[in-house]
Amino acid sequence: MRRTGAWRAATAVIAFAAVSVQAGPPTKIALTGGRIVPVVGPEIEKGTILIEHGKITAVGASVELPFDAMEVDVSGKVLFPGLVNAHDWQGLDIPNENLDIGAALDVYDAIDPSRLFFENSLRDGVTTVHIIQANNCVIGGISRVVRPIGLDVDEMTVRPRAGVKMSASPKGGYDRMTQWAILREAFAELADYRERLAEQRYEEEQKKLKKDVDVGPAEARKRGAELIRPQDYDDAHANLHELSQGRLDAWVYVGAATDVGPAVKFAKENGFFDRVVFVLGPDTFKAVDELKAAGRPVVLDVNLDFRERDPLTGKLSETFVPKVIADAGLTFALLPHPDASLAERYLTYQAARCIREGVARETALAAITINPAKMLGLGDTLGSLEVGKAGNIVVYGGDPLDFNTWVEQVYIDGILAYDRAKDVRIRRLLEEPGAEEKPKEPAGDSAASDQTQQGDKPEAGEGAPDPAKPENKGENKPDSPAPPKPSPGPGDDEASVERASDRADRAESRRRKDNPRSKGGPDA
Amino acid sequence: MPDRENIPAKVRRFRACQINPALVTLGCAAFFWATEATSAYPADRGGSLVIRAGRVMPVADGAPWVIERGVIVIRDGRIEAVGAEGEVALPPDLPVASFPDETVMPGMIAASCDLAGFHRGVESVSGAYTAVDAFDVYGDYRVILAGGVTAVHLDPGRHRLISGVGAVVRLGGSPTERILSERSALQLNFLESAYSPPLDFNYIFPASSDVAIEPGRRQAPDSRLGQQPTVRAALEAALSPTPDAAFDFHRRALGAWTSGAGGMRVRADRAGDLRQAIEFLRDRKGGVVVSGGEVNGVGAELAAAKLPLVFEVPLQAGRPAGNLGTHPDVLARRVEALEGLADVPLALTVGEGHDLSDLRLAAATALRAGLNERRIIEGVTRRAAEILGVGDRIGSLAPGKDADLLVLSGDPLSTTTHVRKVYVRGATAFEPPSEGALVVRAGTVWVSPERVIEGGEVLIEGGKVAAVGRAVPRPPYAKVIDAGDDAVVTPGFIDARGHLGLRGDGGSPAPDVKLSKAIGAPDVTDLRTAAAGVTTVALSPYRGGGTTGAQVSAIKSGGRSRGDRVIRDTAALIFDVSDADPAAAAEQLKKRLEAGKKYLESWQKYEKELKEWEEKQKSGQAAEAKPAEKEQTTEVKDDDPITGTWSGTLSGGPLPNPETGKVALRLTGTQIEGRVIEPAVPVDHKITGTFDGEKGIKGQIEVDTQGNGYPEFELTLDRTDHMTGVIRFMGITVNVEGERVEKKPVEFKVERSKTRGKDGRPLAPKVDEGLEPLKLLLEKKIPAVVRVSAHTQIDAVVKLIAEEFELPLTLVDAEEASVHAARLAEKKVGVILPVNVVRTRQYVPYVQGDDLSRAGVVVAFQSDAEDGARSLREVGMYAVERGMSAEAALAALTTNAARLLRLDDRVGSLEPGRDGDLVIFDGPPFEAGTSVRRVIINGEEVR
Repeated sequence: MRRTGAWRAATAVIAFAAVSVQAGPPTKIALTGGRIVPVVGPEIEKGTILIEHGKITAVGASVELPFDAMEVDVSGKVLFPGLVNAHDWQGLDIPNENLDIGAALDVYDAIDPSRLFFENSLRDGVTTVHIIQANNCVIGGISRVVRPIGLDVDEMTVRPRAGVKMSASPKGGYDRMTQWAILREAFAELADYRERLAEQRYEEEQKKLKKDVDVGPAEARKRGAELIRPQDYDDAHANLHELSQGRLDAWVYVGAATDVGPAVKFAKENGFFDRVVFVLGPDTFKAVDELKAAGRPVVLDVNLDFRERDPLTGKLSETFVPKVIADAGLTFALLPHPDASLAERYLTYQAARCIREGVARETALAAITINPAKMLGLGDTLGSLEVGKAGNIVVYGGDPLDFNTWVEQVYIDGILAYDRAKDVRIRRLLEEPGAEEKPKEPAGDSAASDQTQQGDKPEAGEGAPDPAKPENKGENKPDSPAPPKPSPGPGDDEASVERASDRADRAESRRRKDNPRSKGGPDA
Repeated sequence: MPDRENIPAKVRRFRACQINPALVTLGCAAFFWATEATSAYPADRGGSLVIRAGRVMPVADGAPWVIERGVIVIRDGRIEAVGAEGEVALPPDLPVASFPDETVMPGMIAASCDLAGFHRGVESVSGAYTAVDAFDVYGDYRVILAGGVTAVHLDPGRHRLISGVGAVVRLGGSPTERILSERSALQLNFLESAYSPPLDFNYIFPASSDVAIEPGRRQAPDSRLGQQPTVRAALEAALSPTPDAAFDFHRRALGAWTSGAGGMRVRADRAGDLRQAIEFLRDRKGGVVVSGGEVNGVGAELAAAKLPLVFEVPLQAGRPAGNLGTHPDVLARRVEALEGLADVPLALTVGEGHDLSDLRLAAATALRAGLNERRIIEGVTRRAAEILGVGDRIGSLAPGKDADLLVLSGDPLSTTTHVRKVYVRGATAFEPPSEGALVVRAGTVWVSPERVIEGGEVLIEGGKVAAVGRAVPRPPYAKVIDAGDDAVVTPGFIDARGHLGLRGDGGSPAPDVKLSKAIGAPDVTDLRTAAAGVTTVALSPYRGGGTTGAQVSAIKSGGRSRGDRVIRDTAALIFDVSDADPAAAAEQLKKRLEAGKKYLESWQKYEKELKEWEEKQKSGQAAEAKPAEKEQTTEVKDDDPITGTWSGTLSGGPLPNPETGKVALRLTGTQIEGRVIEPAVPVDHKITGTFDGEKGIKGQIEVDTQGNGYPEFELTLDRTDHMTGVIRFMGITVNVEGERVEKKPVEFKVERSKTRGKDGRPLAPKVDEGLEPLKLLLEKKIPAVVRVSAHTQIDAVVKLIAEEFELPLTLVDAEEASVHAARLAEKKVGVILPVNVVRTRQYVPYVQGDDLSRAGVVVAFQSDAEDGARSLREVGMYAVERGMSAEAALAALTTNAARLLRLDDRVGSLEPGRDGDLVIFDGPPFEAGTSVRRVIINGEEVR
């Protein structure tokens, strides 16, 4: 018994130690003095956000801070919820699988944490990414919501099995007739499989009871239907079954207006309508009345304006899609453009364009934060700066929608995941060619912050000013106090970042060819 | 997958017997027909209106083939009533669309087409592909609608033995209402293109060393021999599937057809295939045969089997094929094959790959096969709808049917006919993108006195006559007005002197006034005038002109805007010497003309200098910059702003009451001299001052003030003949207001800088709006129109203007013109006849117009009225009645009037390039019983 007790105690200690190692970040951090744009609720001109154990525990103009909270002065800055990228394939090594009915597939197997995409997401203020198969598919597979930090997929994961990707528009090389035949076949086959499974289960049960199978197949199937256990479904059918029972979200690409009606009908017939999110193509907005009637959330195409020529007069007309969608009162999310050389890659830019074209500011801001969070089933934990939500905060240098504003810092679950002052790439990009010596500095600093990782309470680096004294904290100083960060973020050792990025870049350019968007979508 | 091996073989057999084939069929059918569920979205109600048309072709049971002057009442997208005007009660709440020249027929239906493309699946036999999936309900099909096709049957492809399920869809209207039949029929293809389908691979996931991907399965048919057995076997198999067989979605989807519930259509081209198709469908007791091939001789068999035929009319227009086979006219032969199909329900469509918008043309070629118009039109409307199973919705214009209809410019099967508008469910689905051209056809087209076309046409495009002849081009969307064989089309009439729009303003305008400025968009009065056939008015002042001249503007009585209405701001310069002494008038006219000449010369000089300067600039010898030189010029002007007698009022300052007075002023150059007239003083108070040339006047009154200096004045010419300002004297300021009460033309010298700019560029002379029309006259761009009465006046005016100055001259009224007829003819002086065209000479009535035109004088008619111009035709009628030839009267109202006013480049004839202004009469224009039917101005009808 004594030995057992000791054993227990030891286990407890080890477990505690493990927990404390895992909970690397400071348990309490307060961002003070910044303008808070919470997206939900009114703005606070000068306020404080307190994050405890990765969650926001207080937001307000005056917050009483616990004595042990690390205070970071962000006066003059703007605090904004971490942006949510509602739909992106770029974290995958390949955007699509060839297999038509790939319900059994999971992006878990294909997410590459070393991709430059994640680093860029962080740099652009995105704290949550929904990694999902691209639109060039029939039934693409299971998606996953991740943070752009972490060394492996498990560490990155926010929500596994976020949804099943499907496309109501033809996959490359297919036509609509074929696409729909395959989609219908998938569910017809599921029904057939279920019946056979029922029959088999009935026979198995009868066998267990040492009874003969004394009824015809039709009766056997009826009787066996209730005997099916979830584990009886094989891999190929399990996810589709879950979907048809309304236990999985569906993300359905509707690449053209004409696909909306059939997609809605299909979702209703197969039991997942209440859990469907429509991913729209460039001209799908034309079916806005049908989308409105469906009332399901939508993700807009990366190209916000749609141009078309009149076939009779040749006259060019242009429609700003988010305005149409917003006017219809639909919940929508904006996407960043996958082409990193365009301004459209910034979600904030996409939102700013919406505002310029007459969409209400709250609506536009919601479209890059709380709306995608809700679509991902994470509306309670992400997407706004409210008490109880995750400490995903972007510290902007100015108004988030101003194109001249930089993302200064990004906190994910209270972890300082990005700090522009330590962003080697940005520094290399913007610095004068003569000043090549400087980049050495952050390396030493990150080593310093690595040391702080060991302790519960962050200590200042060598010679670093006390974070509590805001006057000492220059904007360009690379040595602002950094809480420990476990991610291979941009602040890491330069050489290793370089190597990883080269690899990522090569892969990127190779993959660009497979990107259905760059080919004009599966409709082309 | 369930482990099949563990189930005793006995049980499996037992179960195989238990499966009820009917149940399976029903189950499958239920699965597939369940998707027929109607849309969950609020249906679009469709349009409501009344259509009135020249001809309505209902193509309906029990309805006449053609209803002349028909009416269609449409409510919520459905037809409520069809009938002749007067027979159908018109609901007062609906808007009316009128198409008096057009023919309305049901929207055409292509009973077979490849708009859906073909599916990419490999299965030789499949009921899982549905063409409706490939249809873009939001698509913009206006290019096809423009051809008159409003609905089509979508074929799921011709590349497989059983390629899938077709659909019937509309090409316009609300997206949620476009699908008429989601599952019309199973498509079978007894065609060579369906032979040797690709291998059918069954991809297995996850494939492994244990679960291998099998080689592809070979599919039937390989040849004609295999097609029928393959189909029969597939349908059999779908009816009674083996329970243990692997799930085959594509074959199971045939379930609905095994029991014969669903429609079926077989496409075949070769005679042998057609026989197989007929045999197969006859056994099934129904179906449709689709063919574009050798239907010769199968007519009887089709009729016996009671099978309808959808025939693809071969049409080679626009893309002649390389090799048409051995027969000299293979197309004719194929079309002629239709002759044998007298008893077969027949729908016509276009061939594979051909533009659907050519359906009407393709159908019309079937006329060659001896099919009558009726059968052909039914073949693209009602029969097609019936064969497709949507006859209760579309295909004819009958109460209860959807209002899918076409507005055609003429006979449906004529190649010169165009689709003018398309309605789908009572809403406009297509209309021409731009205001189309207009073609007017009539028994007589009177182009000009030199050209009259019997049975001719006029094409008006962009507001101008584009072509005239026996048969003119008919550009797309052209509207056609067929006025009939009795109709006469003439150019719009010209009122050579009228006052339309002056609203009784009898003022005498200054020479710089353009009357066209008084014109706005046409009002009711204008349009009434237009509707009477008078399309152009030479707008002249009621009186005035005198020897100074007034401007005449040429305007139209109709047009969309003011800009459309004005032909020329300055079309002529009108003088009036009818009340003056001939000699004195001639002298004054001469003076005026000479002033104009001088003005013209100053401009000519300038233009010459400018040309020289430009040439120099070009050759690089840029003239050196010279300081501006002063130049003395002497001008005779009657618009000297200052010289004359001024009456003034002094007020303000210390004056308790306003004081009045009069002064005489004279301007010499920029110096002003003058004296005070009132109040009379013993010694003249001299006035001296300067004029800055624009407005300002400064000076003093030299009155003895015992050493206190002279009173100084500072005045401004705030408007013509009026000045205001102040007089200052000993610190007192008094307000002055003056008005010129008398003025006389004076000769005065003006000093101004020489006419060269900085870089040596000659400076343009000052534009004098008053002399501008004279300049135009002296350049012979516009005529002088002189109102004269007595022959002595005529003589003096002709002598001066036509002979001395050699300018274009037209006389107005000129009651005694006959005296000088020969001379007028020789000098090409025209005459605008007095309103009362009939006069007497020694108690004998005669028509002056006839008199003069016989002598070779060009004459025109005037109204001398505003909307009284409406009776201009009656003026002509009167003249004709009294002996003038109708031809000459017509010329006088059109071509000749235009020539006299130098407007013949715009109006007066129907030659190409002229404005599209014309009048349609229902008979000879000057017959009393003839009326004006319609009037077109700038290509648009006046209503």
